[in-house]
Amino acid sequence: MTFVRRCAAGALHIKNAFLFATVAALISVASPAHATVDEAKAFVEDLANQTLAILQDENASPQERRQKFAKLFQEGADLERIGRFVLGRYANQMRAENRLQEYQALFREYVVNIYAARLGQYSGETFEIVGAEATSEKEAVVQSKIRSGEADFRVNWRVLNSGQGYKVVDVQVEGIWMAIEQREQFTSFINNNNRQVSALIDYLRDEVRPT
Amino acid sequence: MLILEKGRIAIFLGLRVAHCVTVVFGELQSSMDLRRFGSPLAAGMADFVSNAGRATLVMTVACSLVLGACSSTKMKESDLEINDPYEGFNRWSYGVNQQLDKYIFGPIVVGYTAIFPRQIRNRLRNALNNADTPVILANDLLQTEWERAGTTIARFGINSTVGLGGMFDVAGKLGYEFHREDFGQTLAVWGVGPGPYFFLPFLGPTTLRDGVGMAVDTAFDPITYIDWDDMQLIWVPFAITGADGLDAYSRARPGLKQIEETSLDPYASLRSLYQQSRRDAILNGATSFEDLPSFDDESSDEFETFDNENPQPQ
Repeated sequence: MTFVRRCAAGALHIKNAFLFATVAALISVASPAHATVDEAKAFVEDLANQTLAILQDENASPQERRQKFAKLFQEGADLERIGRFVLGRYANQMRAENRLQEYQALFREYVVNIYAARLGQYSGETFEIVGAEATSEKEAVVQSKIRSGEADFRVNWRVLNSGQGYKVVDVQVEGIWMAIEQREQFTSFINNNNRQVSALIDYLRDEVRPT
Repeated sequence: MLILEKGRIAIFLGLRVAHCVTVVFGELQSSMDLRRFGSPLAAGMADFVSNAGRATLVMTVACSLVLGACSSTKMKESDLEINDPYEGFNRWSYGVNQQLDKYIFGPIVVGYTAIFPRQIRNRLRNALNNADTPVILANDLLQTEWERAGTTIARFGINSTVGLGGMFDVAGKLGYEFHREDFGQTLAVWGVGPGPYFFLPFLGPTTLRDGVGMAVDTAFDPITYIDWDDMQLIWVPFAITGADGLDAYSRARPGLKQIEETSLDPYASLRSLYQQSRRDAILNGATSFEDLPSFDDESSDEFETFDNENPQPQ
């Protein structure tokens, strides 16, 4: 698009300039959806390749590998948004009690721990993007296939661009959205603890406490 | 990877465990030969029941009428609404099942997997899947999934012969991949919502719709109509059903154990996994991103969205 605009500006002939302007306008109207899908695909592909690079790096110590993964995970996933989402209807209560920040810090550590703990289980999975679909102006779902041994898994990545590039907000494995399942657990746990969000905070603090 | 395992478990949960074990009850009922009671009425009923086509038709129509009526009022197909009005009872049964696992089924499964090598268990699983063909085919057809029905028929032909009674999945290697289908899914395709969620002792997770579906699937199954008693083979249907349930549970159990150990609320986790995996099965794995919690949907207070900087107070 910048190329088209630059051409349009540089065109000496007024007729050409007009033509270029028209083309540029048409492209800018038609392209957002395409740009969204392609950018989303590129983002997920890049994220997957970086993850594989970390997993396949034989020179890195387990600790180094874990650190690199934790960093990538926090860059690639919109943990703040996910943290709020999994609170479901209790997000307001958390905010009202001024404990949202405390919760978010604990949630971040909790989630990173869960996934980093599984790093050792990597066994030569291969990754392939099979499609993508824009679900709104800011959002897309990128579909991929992960082959692990004999079995293929359908893995879909829900990505959202809130202005600073794409980040993952949810991952669907064989039909199961992880954040939706996590939200069921969190809201159900709060429900069964006198509807007190502090119960969840206490739980998370226990979980992330170094043993 | 945790996420992969959860996906795997969900498939087994949704499609196998509950279904298999329910068949046990189906067999129990059908193996009680009504003619034994000697009354003309019972004999008439037995004849009627043994008429597979008619019984199935009646059940199908009755069930869809009942569920259809409900669906127009209360039920909605969405993976975002958890309809669990009997949560107290359900959580109690969840506890019962954990005890059953601890003292009865867990040890049996451990013995089963220790005695029989994986290769043997896979042969058994393939043969059981092959024996399920009539149920799968009936539901393929009722959902007007002609291509999948064709696959089901081709698989049965190839695997029953070249695959030695279904033990070897030759058809799968030729590109006719296995799929499962049940009457709960058929009802969903016809527009019936899931209704309330149940976690039953012994049987595990289901919904009103899927429970009815299981009963109808039993009616679709020729094993239900074979007069085993006459052939002095009354143990056969029990053996088939028992093996099916045992093998299915042995495959689901490691995942269930993992959920139990790592989940904050295993009950809620299973409920979500069941619901989401059923939805996926109904869609036959097709993608549908329509009912996702949308961040443009500000009016809804039923679920929070990902883009919720300033939610309305409730």
